[in-house]
Amino acid sequence: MIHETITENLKGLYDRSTDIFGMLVLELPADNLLPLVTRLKEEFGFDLFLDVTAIDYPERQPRFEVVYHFYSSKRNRRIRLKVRVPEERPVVSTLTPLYGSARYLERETHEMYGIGFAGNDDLRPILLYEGFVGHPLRKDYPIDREQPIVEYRLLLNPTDQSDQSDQSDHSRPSHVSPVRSFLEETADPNNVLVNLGPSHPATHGTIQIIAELDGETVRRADIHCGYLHRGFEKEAEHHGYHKIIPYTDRLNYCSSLNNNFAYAGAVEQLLGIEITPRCKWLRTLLSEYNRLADHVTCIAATVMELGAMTAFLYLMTIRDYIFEHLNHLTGARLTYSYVRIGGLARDLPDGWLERLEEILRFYERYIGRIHGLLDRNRIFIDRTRNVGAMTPEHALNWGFTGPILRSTGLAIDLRKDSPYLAYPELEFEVPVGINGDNYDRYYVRMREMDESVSMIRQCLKRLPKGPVSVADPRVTLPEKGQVYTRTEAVISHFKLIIDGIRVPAGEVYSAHEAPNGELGFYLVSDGSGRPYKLHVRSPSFAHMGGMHTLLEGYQVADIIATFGSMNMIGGECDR
Amino acid sequence: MAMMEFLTTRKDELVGWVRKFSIFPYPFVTACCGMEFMAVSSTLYDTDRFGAALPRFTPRQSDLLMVVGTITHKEAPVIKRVYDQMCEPKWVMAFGACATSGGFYRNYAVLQGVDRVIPVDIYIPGCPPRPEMVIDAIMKLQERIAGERHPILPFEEQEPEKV
Repeated sequence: MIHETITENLKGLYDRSTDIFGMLVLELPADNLLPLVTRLKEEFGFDLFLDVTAIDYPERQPRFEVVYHFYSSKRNRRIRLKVRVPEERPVVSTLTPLYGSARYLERETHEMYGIGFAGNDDLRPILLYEGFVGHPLRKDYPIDREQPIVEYRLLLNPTDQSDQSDQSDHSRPSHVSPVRSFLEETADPNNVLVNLGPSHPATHGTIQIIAELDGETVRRADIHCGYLHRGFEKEAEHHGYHKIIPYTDRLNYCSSLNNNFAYAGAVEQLLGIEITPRCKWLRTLLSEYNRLADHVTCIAATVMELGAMTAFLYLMTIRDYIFEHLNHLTGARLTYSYVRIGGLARDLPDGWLERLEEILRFYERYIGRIHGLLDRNRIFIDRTRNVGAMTPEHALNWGFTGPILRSTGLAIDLRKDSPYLAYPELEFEVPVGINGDNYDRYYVRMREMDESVSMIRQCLKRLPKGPVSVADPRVTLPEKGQVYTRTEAVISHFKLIIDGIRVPAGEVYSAHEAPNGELGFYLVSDGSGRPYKLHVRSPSFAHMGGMHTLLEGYQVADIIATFGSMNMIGGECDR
Repeated sequence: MAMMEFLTTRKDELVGWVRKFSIFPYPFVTACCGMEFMAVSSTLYDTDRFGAALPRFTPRQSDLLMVVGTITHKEAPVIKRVYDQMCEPKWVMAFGACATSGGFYRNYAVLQGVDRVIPVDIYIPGCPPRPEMVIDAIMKLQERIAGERHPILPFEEQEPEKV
């Protein structure tokens, strides 16, 4: 077993090793971090740095635990490292010499927990803004302590009617910049700095790209995200397990169901719940259906930004049919909240599957038109072929996953590599690209949609009958009729509503293949009705951390094409 | 030959009628609601029917600021700046629960309603609102524009905006 080989070889570098849900966990002193990770990377091929976060235990000594996740693409293994650091000197060494993606990920942990990364010279705020005081994810930071940077307009005391007119002084500049670019100090004076975003016509989502231009060529780019940071992780620590589901909807809002299922999967793993066969197949079907909607949205937005309005309108028509169809099932067009811990909210309504087949046929007719409009279109090829190209090593180094990684030719797909739900029983291919350029990313997505349709059809054929939720009194509400007639049912209902689901203490990292890449939920429970810590490993955030490497050296107009093909989703990136 | 050579109307009615059917929106799209904004402006719902389809992506040329999605404290200076750059007459639409009140995000990061930094004319509830609700809001706004006074004054005599 690989776990034994690793623990045997690295003996002395770590203090304790455990196996949690099939993942090797090593606890080590802070000084050994860099040597151990170097050996993990070189000897065992852990070449993808997934994630770093921290956990705050105010009553423990040392107070913080810094948690790392790595993935080995060759051995298809994940590993977790834990380093304890004290409050007085919360510093670990940086991993930027080993992994490009560490640069961005460490910045987030730095601002959220105040953990220092010795050697990382760029620790500016990333999700927060310049001037923010404190570290919001520490347990002693109150959830509602706001630090506004714009003066509020109205007097918020409604009884005081004395002066409600516009009080802003027009002679004073009304804006302060929430971000600080390193280019302002270091740019070559002969070059021009151009700012794109956060509200720009040709980008979807709120991102700010500051580019240093030499003529039309981008020399360096500084990418700021965080304009849509809505405090998902802090909110999760203050809500019960069921109440978090609506928040997960709004991570990647193009494919809410995939987020729902990934989150529920993590909680169920910790609870030790086996979902029913019908639920398993339905979740698989709906994951693929939502992946279809996500890819359609991504391609539509990308090509619209390149000027292809017809393709946009065709794709939007497909997407709107899917939205209305999912609305019939879940009651919402976009933010479904359809999952429940241990099952689904309700079974399929009558006629839903027949309509699904109609929509799939409609999709096939329309997607042929998109292929006809774009695949061999001279303008489209000129703007995408060999633009933003990269090698597989480059993609792994910068933490890219999903279609972006596969466009470079690596067939890494969680649905194949560590199958979950009903994927082991489905037949499908993993489409890959060759050059890792914008065109390949477009085409990989187009091919993935075809695979999704084929998987949906297989699910339709094999969808078993039976209940959609487990009959487990720990998580499932009793039937309404019983609540009115039986005492135990009333008690059970009351406890589940008031206390919420009690999840046994422990920790789990559960990842699903979301449309954008590896979407992982790292959940730490202390046995109460709320998560102690819920961290999202979001694919878009890692993608944005490495996107500047795909912009530099290309033309300024290529920023739009490359950014579109990365499919950055604000809610997921900034959380 | 009976030809209509002139017509009489009130100036405010005429200007209001013109303005109501030439809304140039500036979509300030940040979050999930943007997906519904895409749906509203494309084939099946089509805001073109209300004369409000052509998004102007510069605040200088637009007269309806659509705040589509959550505004965080980090974003607040940006939206304030966009609003200040728009020319009069201008209207603001808070699209969705987050822009209206912060929605269900009550934490350190999210601005509790965009009306704390800029005045809002029309609010759309929903998380996100359905396209029909957006169309309804546009029509309500059009009614309001048609019924407003539209003073045409030299720049020096224009009063500062009343909130």
